[in-house]
Amino acid sequence: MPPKPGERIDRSTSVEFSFDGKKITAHEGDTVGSALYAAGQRTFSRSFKYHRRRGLMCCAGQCPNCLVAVDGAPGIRACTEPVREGARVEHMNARPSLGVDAMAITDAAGPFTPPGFYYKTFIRPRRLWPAYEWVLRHAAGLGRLPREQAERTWRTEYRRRHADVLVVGGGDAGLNAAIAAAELGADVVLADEGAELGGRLLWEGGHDHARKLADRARAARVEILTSAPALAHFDGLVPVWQGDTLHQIRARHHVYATGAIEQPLVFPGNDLPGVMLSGGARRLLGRYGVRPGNRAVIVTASDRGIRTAIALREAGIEVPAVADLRAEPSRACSRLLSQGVAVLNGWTVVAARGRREVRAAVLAPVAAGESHGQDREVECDLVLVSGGDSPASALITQAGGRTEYDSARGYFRIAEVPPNVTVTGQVAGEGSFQTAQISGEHAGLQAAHALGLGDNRSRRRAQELRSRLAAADRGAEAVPPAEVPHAAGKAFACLCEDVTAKDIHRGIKEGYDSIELCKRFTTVTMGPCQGRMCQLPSVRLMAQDTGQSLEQVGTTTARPPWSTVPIGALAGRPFEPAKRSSIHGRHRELGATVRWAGDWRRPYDYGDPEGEALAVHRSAGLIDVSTLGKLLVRGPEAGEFLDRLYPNRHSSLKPGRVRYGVLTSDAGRIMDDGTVTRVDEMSFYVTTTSSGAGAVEQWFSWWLADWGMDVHLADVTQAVSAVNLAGPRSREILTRLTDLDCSPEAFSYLDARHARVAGVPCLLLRIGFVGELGYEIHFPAAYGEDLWDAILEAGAGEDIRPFGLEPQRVLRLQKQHIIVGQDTDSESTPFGAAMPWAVKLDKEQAFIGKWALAHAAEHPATTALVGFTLDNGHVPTEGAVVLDTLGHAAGQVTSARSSRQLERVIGMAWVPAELARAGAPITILDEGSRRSASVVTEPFHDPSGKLLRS
Amino acid sequence: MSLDFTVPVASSEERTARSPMERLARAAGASFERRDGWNVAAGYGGDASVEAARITDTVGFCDRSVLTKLDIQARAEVLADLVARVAGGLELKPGRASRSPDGSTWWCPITPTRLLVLSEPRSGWDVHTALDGAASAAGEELVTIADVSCGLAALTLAGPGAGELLSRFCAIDVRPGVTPVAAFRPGSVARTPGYVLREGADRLLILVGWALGAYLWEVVADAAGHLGGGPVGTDALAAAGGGLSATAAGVAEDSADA
Repeated sequence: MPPKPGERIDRSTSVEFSFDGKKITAHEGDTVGSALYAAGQRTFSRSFKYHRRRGLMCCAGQCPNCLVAVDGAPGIRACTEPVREGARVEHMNARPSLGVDAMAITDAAGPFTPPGFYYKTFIRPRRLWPAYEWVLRHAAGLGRLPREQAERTWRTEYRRRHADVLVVGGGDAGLNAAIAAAELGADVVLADEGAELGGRLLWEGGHDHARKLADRARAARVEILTSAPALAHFDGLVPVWQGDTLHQIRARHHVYATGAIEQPLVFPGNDLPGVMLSGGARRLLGRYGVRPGNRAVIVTASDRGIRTAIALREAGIEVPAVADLRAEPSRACSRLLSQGVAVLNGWTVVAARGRREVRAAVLAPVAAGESHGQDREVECDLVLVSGGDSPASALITQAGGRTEYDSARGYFRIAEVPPNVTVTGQVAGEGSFQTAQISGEHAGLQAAHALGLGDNRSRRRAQELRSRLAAADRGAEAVPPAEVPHAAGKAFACLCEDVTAKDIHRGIKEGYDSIELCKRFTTVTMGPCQGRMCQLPSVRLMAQDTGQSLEQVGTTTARPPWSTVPIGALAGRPFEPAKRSSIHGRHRELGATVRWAGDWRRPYDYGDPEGEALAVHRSAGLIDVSTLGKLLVRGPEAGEFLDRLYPNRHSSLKPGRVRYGVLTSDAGRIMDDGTVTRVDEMSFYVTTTSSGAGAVEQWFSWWLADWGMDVHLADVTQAVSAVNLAGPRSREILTRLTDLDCSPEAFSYLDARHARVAGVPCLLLRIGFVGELGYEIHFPAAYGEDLWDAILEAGAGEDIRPFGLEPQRVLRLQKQHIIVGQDTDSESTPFGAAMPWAVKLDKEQAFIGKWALAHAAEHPATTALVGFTLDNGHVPTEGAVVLDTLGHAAGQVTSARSSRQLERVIGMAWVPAELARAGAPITILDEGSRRSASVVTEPFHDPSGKLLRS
Repeated sequence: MSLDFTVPVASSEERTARSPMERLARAAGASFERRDGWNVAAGYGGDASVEAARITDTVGFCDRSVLTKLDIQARAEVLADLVARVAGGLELKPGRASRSPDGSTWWCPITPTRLLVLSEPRSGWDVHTALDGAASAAGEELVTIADVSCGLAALTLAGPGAGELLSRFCAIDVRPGVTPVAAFRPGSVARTPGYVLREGADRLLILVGWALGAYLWEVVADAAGHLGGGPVGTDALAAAGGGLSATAAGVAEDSADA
């Protein structure tokens, strides 16, 4: 076509891409769809179930007809995808080719694939199901993802944007709303799914006006996002997808100017290539300079189709007939009539004929019913339908808005919106060129006023606009019938899912007679268009069949996402907060195997877990225990506070002493364990398990708030790093690094000392988890690597080795030290876990869980935690079942390892209480095999604790 | 006994305190100097103009983990009195940090009974000492001053793109009208608990747990790279002005890479 003002393409440029291997030349500004259409392509895809030919229909990214794969990415709408030099575009859902599709046979096999056929057919004989499944899986779906993906550089950005006003929709109304709000001082973001602002102004002759509005918006400092569809409305958060960025927009007020979606009509052959929405043809013509056809029949329910007829004739396209569903001609028709165009009022299309493309349209009076007598068959290569509008209300209903059926207009209009939402333009029923601008400005003023902006002048202006809106003439529209029973052939209600009008009738007959049930049974509205094309037609069909009003039938629930979005966008940027100790870098350099332990990255071993464990027994080992939870509890009532929390006593601790503590819940169950050190008269230093740190801090804080005691808590878990130096040579190594007297007399077991170690201020605790002489050294995290290096250097001559979590697990198991959460569960009490000494029921201070523990003391549990050994070398699975004497499951293995030091397999398990005695035989059922084991009730290594206390 | 084992000692000549981001900064080309007992990334790549351009044109991010951070708890009235004595009459307002008259310290109320004090290391010792003295003068009142300098890692985002950079990993609304200069906001930063302090029109200080410092660097570096920004050293930040002054007052004790 000759150049037109406002067209999007740059005819001086040329862009080449391929479609199914064939080279296509386009212009900058073209879409893949417009370029292919200009090159003569009419079939763009094959439909989902019947593999019928489908061509361009909406040219607005709303229908499913032009889905293609671009550079391997499937599900791209050709009609909105910009052309790109060298792009590889391929058809989807057809084999071997778009022109000859073997699966088109399914079109003839309709009786075998009615809605819900998978519940009725392909079921028997059952033994053939694997074959049926293979066939169905390969027949279903649209597009394929490549199994091997080349290295891709695409990334998703997440951007959080707060705003005063978010305007969704950049047409006439939306632009005016954004400008009005911004000019009153609001911080406004405007998001539009189109590549250019202006909406239908761009193809209905208003491109200059659109450009001026866009310039005004920019001058008012509106942030404009184009090619940016809004995906949903989640409690005030609206995600907008743009390119590779997901904008998460939180606005105080939302203005929805999302427009209305032109509706198709339901008639046999309504899916043939060449049957388009009138807007689709206008876009091809006005934006891309592409001739949509040579001879067009137009069927319309409003002046929109009339305007399309006029535009086509101006472009030199023949219009032999216009079927206007309205009974009376509108003023707009007069121009066509004066040109001799046949305008048939009260008529509609009852069939489109053609095989690969439309060849003729059959028109008949709307009221003709089944009478064929007045049919008129008109030859054409284009049937343009405009079956009224349906407001794009999905985002508004997600925001809490409500719709109700407007029988005058034949659609579900917005009836109610929440206080922080305004609707404007076509979506609000103000879609004429006269009213869109007024409605938009009014909406913008309303939004600004709701935020406390504006003044008397702006309020008077809003009042004036309201009056003008009330007086405006909105034009007449006809309400199309659900379908006109007429010719044979498939009349599609849902193009995405290949659901015909007959399918809807059948579903209702089978009892799926509510719109939600019908949707789930037939899958109508569940395809790529998400009801844009088919919600209203399906509701009409249902109303017709059931005798209900459309209001009674209602609509289905609009669920996000409203627009297509890659799953990668929703996955977003992977933020995986990983806590790393201050020594982490050194562990990596030492070749540690690093794994997750809760939300920390920890070294599991340094390549030789057995050797590392042996080093602790023979010389010395060093482990990073910085992940331990650490809390400062300080105040004149700190001791009493701890006494209330723990079942044992801590207030009696003297400064410089450490005590092991088991924290219990209200129900007396073990929650966590750790140590309590009295640093000075008023200060206690509490350690917890690594994974329990957060929960313990919350527990302490909760009870402190409840009791209102004169105590302060400070979480220093990350501020303080810690290492455990353990082994028979640990004292010698430590002595080289500090002036502290480390003799057993001066620094005995369960003492705490403050000293500088390698120049670093430290708190040293003589405690042990690994069964050997050991020192837990706590220090400011900023010195992690330096202190670690200093200790290893000092111990180099003693064969000191770093050791990780895995050898530590073996070492602590040798001492039968529990790991809370592994050896205990939510029912474990200190009594059952062989720690009765941790509970002081006789202490004066009431404590959490006391009642429950007193009860547990009087009513011993039926199971107990014990150690065990196996002689056959098999290491049972953690979780393996322990059987009672009758062979019933009565307990489980919680920990199990092979100890090289002890040269046997050891473990811990919950066993029936009557078997919790030294030497008792137990049976472990592990992976189907029964294993005999013996109970061991005291630590496997150094049972007397002599080494620990040396 | 004392709580010294939580306090990085600047006077230690044997050991140098290190930020959790040090390795990543080094990998990004940082040159280090020992200042006030800390290993500080003074600059990147040797070309100060590149760093200056980041701060003026796009966005730079600077490791400020060396800041002294004190967590102070007391009854509200006692806390207010403490601050008034030590900080020259500053008032505490929720959501709003106050800067000491000499510009060296931010006083950031977390709750009416809890305060976070941020200071350059050298000023931080003086503030800590002054607070200890004021706490003693409070008599029987319980006042806890915990040094959490190694409990919080810190990054300053500086430049016109600071807000945009933050928006890539944090949903806190830092528009100037909502978060003006001196606004102090606890919240989720890169999916972890943290704080955001607007130090200046184009300057945001973010704090997260020390053990998450390296993770924060990775998140920020990735987002900044996508926006055309990059790391800047403390010298470039100090030269650009605003916020707490960089350790220009701290003597470069060892210009060799510590």
